[in-house]
Amino acid sequence: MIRQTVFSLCLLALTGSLCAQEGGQTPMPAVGTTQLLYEAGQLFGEMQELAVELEIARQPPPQDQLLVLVSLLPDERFELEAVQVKINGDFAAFHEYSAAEIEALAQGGAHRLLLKRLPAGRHELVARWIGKAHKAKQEEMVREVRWAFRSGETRRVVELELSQGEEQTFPHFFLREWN
Amino acid sequence: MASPIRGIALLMALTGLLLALPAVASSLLDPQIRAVHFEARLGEPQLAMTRLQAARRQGFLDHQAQPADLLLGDMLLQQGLDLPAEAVLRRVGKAGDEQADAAWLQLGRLHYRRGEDEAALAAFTRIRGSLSRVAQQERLLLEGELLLRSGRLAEAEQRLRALLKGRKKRSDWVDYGRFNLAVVLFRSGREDEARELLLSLSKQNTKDTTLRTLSDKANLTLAYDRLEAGDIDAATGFFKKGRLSGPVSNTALMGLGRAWAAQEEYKKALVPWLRLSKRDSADPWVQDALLAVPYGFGKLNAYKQALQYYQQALSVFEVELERVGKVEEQVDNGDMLRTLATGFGVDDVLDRDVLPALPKASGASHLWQLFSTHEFQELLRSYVRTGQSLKKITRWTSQVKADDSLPPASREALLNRAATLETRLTTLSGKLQAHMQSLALQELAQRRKRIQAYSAETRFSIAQIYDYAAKRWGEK
Repeated sequence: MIRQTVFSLCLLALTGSLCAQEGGQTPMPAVGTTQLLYEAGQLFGEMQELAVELEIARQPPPQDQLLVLVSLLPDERFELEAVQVKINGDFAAFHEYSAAEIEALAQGGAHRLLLKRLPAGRHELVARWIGKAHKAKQEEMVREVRWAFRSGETRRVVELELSQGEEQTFPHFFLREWN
Repeated sequence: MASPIRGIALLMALTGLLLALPAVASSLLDPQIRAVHFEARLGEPQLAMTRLQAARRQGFLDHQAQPADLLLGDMLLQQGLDLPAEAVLRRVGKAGDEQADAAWLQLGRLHYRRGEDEAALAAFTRIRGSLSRVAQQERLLLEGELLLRSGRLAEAEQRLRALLKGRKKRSDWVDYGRFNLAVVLFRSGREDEARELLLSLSKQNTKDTTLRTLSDKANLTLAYDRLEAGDIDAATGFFKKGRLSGPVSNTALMGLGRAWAAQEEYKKALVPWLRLSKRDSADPWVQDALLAVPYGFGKLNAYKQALQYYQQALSVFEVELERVGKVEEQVDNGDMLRTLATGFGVDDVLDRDVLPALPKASGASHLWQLFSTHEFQELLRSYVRTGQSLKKITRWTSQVKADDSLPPASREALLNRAATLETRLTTLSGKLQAHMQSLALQELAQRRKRIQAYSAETRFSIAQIYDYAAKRWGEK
């Protein structure tokens, strides 16, 4: 009789805990949590707004901006090492590409090489691709493109493209303006 | 019966798989959009996102607004900025261009993650075209689960069957779908079909962790199903099939013991119960086993061993109460949160597999159930992000102060906004900390109450055995 009582107590405890466990989750006071998460979400959104305003404040006025980006399609014929940009004969940018950067370019990415404020008027940009052409007589190779343009009226965005193509005998280096 | 497996863990594990940004960006895209791809790949997603947002704000990408916004919405989501992400993605969805379906998919995922079931279903319903294979599988699994939760069993079944149809290749989405379909069938009263489906999962013999866990859960569900039906032999067979070390192994060991006990095979029942009783005593199943073992010995008329194991259980409960007290101190003095926040990245997920690796000061041994809830992890993520934001504000403030090129009025306005945000973030951080501490203390109080009740029961049982012995054999 006594044993029976003891055992049934144990069994009750067992069954009770089994049911509690099947839910698997600790109950949470939903209101406090939801409100706090909403408040946090609002605040993080405002933080991002401030980040965007800071970014805009640091940029030159749109009509004075020149943005230069670099892209490439991978090719065994030319191994890009660096890109250099001169504006009106002065060095404006030079960037040596790491293996990770080349990989990101090869996946279709574009590198923001230069964002510059230019006074209104006429300018000349000279872009140079520096790299290795393994099959050429002279392995070191430099290719150059010149572009004359006017600033002060609208924002100028240019892409320095290194495009390939099986039909071409050699990679194609060119400058493309985006509006 | 069994609960459906929520896709959240899977969703988090696969984050990034369905990025709006394709593996290879199209050369037809504006290079400013492709620059986001480049910077994100090189570990600067936040900078990339801010630049993209700034370009959109100034109208620089109006000619490619939809792909830019789809990417922006996706990146905002990745950074945990749900509210602005929702606004941007809704814009893309409503525009109805070729990016619209991807935007509705993202919105569906967002609402699903936030537990906004109706909104999630409404977003999924707006997908008109065909999605990629993996995206479609994800959509069907999530829709199936949402419909199941709202009791629309026939529709849930239709989605989950569509997910499984013709799928010969292994996929986590399909495996989870199979389990959830079994739950739908159980709830629809089609138990034979449900069992058949679970049997197909239970038979998986694989090293794949996801599949093994699913297989364990299937075995456990089948075992309890058989136990409820009184088919003890079959239940025992299913309990035995589960791993002895997986996430559901404690439940399985307890169940196996119960199955034997139901057949009055107490010697056999003691084997899994004794094994379970030697595991971490912070686990409620282990605490149950500590009482089940002397119960089993008692049934075998082995009162001496029963008494010995009751006394052992009592000591364990006392030690456990002390441990709960120590964890309460760690929660109170802030050690828990400091330890958790130090090792927790905003992209991390605290599932049960990673919890044992957490330092002792986190209190994970007693609080893992709380830690593994989605809500707690969102709170922790917000807390970590608040700390990061405060550091950012400090950096921005010194940068703005040092930047002579900014017009004074603009500088003043930026600094004022930064100062206001800093105050609000500090307040929020305090509130988050207090809330998480309060949740942890509530959980510990429940544990304390439970152990105290178990201790009282154990003392009562010991007294009864002494009383019984005294009556039967006298004072000697």
